[in-house]
Amino acid sequence: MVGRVRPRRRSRPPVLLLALAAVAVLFLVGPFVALLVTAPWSRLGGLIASGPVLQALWLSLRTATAATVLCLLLGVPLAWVLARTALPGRGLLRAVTTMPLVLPPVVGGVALLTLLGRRGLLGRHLDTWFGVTVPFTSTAVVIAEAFVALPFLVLAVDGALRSADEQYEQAAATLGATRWYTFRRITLPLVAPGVLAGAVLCFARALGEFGATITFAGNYPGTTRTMPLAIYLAMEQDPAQAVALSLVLIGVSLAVLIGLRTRWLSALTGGPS
Amino acid sequence: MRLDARVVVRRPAFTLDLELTVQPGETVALVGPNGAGKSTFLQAVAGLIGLDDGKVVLGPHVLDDVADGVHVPTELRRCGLVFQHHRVFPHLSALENVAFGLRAQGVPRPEAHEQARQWLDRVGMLPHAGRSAARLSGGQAQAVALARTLAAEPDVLLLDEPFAALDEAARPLLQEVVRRHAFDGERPVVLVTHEPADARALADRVVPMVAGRVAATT
Amino acid sequence: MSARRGTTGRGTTARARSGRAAARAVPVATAVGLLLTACATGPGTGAGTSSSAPTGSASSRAPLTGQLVVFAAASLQQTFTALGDRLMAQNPGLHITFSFGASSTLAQQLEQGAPADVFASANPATMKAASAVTDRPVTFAHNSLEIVVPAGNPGHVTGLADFAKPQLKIALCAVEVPCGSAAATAFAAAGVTPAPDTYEKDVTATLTKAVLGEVDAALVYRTDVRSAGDKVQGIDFPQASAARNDYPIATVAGARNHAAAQAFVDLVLSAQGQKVLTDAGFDAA
Repeated sequence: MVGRVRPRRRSRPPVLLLALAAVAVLFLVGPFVALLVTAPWSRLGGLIASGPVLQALWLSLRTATAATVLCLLLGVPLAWVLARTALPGRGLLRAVTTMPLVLPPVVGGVALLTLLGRRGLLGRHLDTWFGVTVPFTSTAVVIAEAFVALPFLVLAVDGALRSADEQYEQAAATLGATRWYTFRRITLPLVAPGVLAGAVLCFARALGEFGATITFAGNYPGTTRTMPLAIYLAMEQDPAQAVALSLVLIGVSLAVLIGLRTRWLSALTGGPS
Repeated sequence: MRLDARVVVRRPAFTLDLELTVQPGETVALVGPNGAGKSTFLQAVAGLIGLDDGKVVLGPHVLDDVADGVHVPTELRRCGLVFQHHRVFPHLSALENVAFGLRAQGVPRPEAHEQARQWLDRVGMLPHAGRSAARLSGGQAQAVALARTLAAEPDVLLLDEPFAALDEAARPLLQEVVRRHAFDGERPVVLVTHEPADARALADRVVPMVAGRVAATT
Repeated sequence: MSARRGTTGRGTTARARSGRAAARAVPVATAVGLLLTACATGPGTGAGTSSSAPTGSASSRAPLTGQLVVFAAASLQQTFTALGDRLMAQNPGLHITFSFGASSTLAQQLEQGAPADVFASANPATMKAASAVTDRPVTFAHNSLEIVVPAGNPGHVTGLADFAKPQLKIALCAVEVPCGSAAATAFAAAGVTPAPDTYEKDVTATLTKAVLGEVDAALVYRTDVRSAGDKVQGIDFPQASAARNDYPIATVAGARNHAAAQAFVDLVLSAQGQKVLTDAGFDAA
């Protein structure tokens, strides 16, 4: 358990590991500190309170939340298939799952356009049959964000499932529970921490999504201009403003993630050890 | 119901090849050292392990027939298995654990909980009904596991070293519970143990096993 | 209003593909520069420059030799590469290296001491920003906005007025980038309030939306329309001249290969050079 007092005679951790870990911390924190130092603190308040910024922030939070829900809905079952079935070609499927991680997001956006765009493989039928066009809508933002964020969720849940013992699922089967019932009542609650970790990664990735969004969904205030897009455009004219907007995005995402964590963790404590 | 099983499972280390018939209401103890294939036999009967050869028939139901390509999945076999390390669901309460099988089979919650309470009472665990299963002692958890399996009303009861993980004090109590509630006169019971004393105390018939086969009879 | 950054042309693809590309370009260009410096100081190279410069400054008869480094706006990639090949064909001893990128990035690199001989910018503002390290600039071309529609013109677009129709899908450059501010000038001149569906991050992304048929019309530079081939059609409009973009070129002060630098600038300004540029959709100087 975390926070337990270690025995005093435990040997000290290797210096090399500590040194490299310290470098890692500097590596992560350094650029962020530089951002903090150069931030236009005196203007920060005004920048945050401005209408367009709040609009972009609100859109970002809404779309990232929707994308996370979409990823949970689709990604948890996919992870289950990867971890718990003997489906042929699972290795290939796992590789396909990680594709959006490797693909430059802009290419992902183009790929989404060629599928769901007005002249896309699927999109052209959506247009002629239903008069629906996906690009340039908030829905397109959610799709783009979910596309790039899904691997984070699937990999996290897949890992949690594979390291979770199947013994409880076997026990449930001997009690006559179908795999679906077992999945809902046993598997899912037991891997909840892994699902939570995946959802957090997924949300963070969706919140920071830029390339696929601007390519597939476009950029229009209130509809598709999320915070990262607003930051990019601010960079073109006023880098200081871009820095300020980045800080807002970082601050809000940290607040959301920490808030969620404490909520979930308190809900989970007292559960499985 | 009668259990007719011929189970062949090939493993790199050994081959299990055991033929066993258990009459309704009969309790058979499989006794032998670790690695004799006793647990593998139970898991094969429960459908958790596929057979390499053989046939498992329970009453009128063919559960496995390698020659015909029949394999009924575990959740449809109605084979109750009490595991060596209880495997109570850590995120559920003792009551929810015992009610699990009934709920899974569609019994409404109030009814399932009422029956679960009765089973908990029989195994002496009613005072702990609301406790999280993760916080039960080994003996308590094994009692809950037994109640959980019995509550699901299986057609055959398979007990895999149910007393092995218990301390000396808890053992007689649970043996008494098994004796009083596990044997209902119709259900075949297979008890796996490496304790000859347990076997003699509970079983009608003892089958000694060595290296996957029935040991030469004495 | 002059554009701040030269992000016209398809050469900006690299930058468009990733926000990090611009940042990455700096060390790469520096590394190239260092490499070139190392070559120039090596034995037997660059000798022709210093000897020919004082004697025949106006004469382009003497064969040019050594290295020539040209920094140019991304939109000039096709035309300048063609002109460079021509100059190298005439002077077998000459080797020209191009670095194409956003004009503002290139200007910053020049100020940081990147070893270039010629700088061609997509707008006067960035040329002015680099004035401390360049000689007197000359305008060598103009680029005008043009309406671009997917092949077949599905939205039946005829002019800027169509950009106000809400039922049409319209893409414009964001006002924060040069093509967007140019578009705003053009709309102001035409008295049209556009109703776009998206403000794209640069001209390449805007063009892509038309190429893929995702929009019925977009506003980009004429050279972009040309480079996209027959997947799109260009439609001229009278207010285009109101938002024309000037392209200046200059030799870099203290260029290592001044003779070749001057020869390249001369070639760009020559009838031959102007023909290549107008063929690509630029307006002659």
